[in-house]
Amino acid sequence: MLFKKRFSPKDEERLSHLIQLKRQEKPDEAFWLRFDEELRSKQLAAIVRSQSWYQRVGKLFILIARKSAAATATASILAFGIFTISETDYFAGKQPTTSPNQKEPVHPTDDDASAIDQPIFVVDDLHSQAEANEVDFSYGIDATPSYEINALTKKSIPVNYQIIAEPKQFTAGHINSGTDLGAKVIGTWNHF
Amino acid sequence: MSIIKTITKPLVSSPERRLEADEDLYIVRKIQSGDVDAFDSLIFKYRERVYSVIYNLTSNREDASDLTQETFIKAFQSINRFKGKSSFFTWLYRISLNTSLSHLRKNKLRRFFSFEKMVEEDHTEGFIENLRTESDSDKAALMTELQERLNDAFQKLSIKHRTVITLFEIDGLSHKEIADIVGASIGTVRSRLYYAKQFLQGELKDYIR
Repeated sequence: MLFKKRFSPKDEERLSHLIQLKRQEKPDEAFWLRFDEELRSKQLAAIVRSQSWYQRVGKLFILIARKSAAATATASILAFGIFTISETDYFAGKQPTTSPNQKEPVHPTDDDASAIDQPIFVVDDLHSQAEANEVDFSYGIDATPSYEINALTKKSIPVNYQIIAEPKQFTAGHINSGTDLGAKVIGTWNHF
Repeated sequence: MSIIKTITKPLVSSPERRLEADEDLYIVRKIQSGDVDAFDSLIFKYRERVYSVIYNLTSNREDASDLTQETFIKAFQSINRFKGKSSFFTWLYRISLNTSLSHLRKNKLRRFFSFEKMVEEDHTEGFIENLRTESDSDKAALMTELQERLNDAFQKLSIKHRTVITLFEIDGLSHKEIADIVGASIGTVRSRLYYAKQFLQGELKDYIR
């Protein structure tokens, strides 16, 4: 035991008086004036620092935007341009579609072969006056071409269709033969 | 268990403190509702007491000044989190203690003292005069010597014991109030106080007998 000896109550009282002398260690008025000034400035700094994180992030964003307005605009235009180009058929890796009346033939590539499942041949009636499913034989052999045959894929029917063969035009006489160019005519476009 | 970790229990105030706490709470509510300047009145009211506690824990006037300011800044920054479960006084003391203890632990190896000037007060004049007669020394020299011996003895105490003796003997708080502030039981406070007094009696025996 460190302290074996007991002190009397008088000693304890004297010790208390002794310790309480430390109460007299006090700073002067000049100290408190300086203290108040320093504390005030620290308090103001604390007010600025105590803004919430989202306020600070917002302010930072605005600051950056102001400092780099030109760069931001350029980057935005570039980003828009890249986005627009990437959305085109070529960059998106899509096959271009054609309208039913498109004359430009598109030949299938090897890659497309799997997508072409049993092509359907469609006869387009070039005579607008004729009924779609009726063949008008009145034009005769020497008449101008009356029909156009296109080969279509099943996938594209009926919204768009993909021409995979050279369109051929026939007169009414040809259509009567039933087959031509190795394709069997199974109906007209209007059947779809 | 460290004091820092245990200073979380709510305070049950004495009647005197409760009245004071009500006044403080009114000011705190004003600050919380946007009247930032009202905090100045709390600074003015408690700055000397907070400074005194920190000074007696550190025995360094520059550190005490900085830590007192830090205490008030921390209190100001977290005033919106003060819910009134304890009195503002206790809450502020806890902040000041935690700030001081953190500082003392960080600077264990870098310790030097710088004392405030002792201002003689009327009620201690008789006590000082007795000591001077017994030691047959110059009053100013005795005061300087006493201050050094007192601070030296204080710094030899552990932080826990120094905290308790400072709050009890110098700040004049009750056992209950100290227990609430340091987050310990009243029994623990009494025990620490007893040990601290015994130690100081041994260190300062030349001035006691």
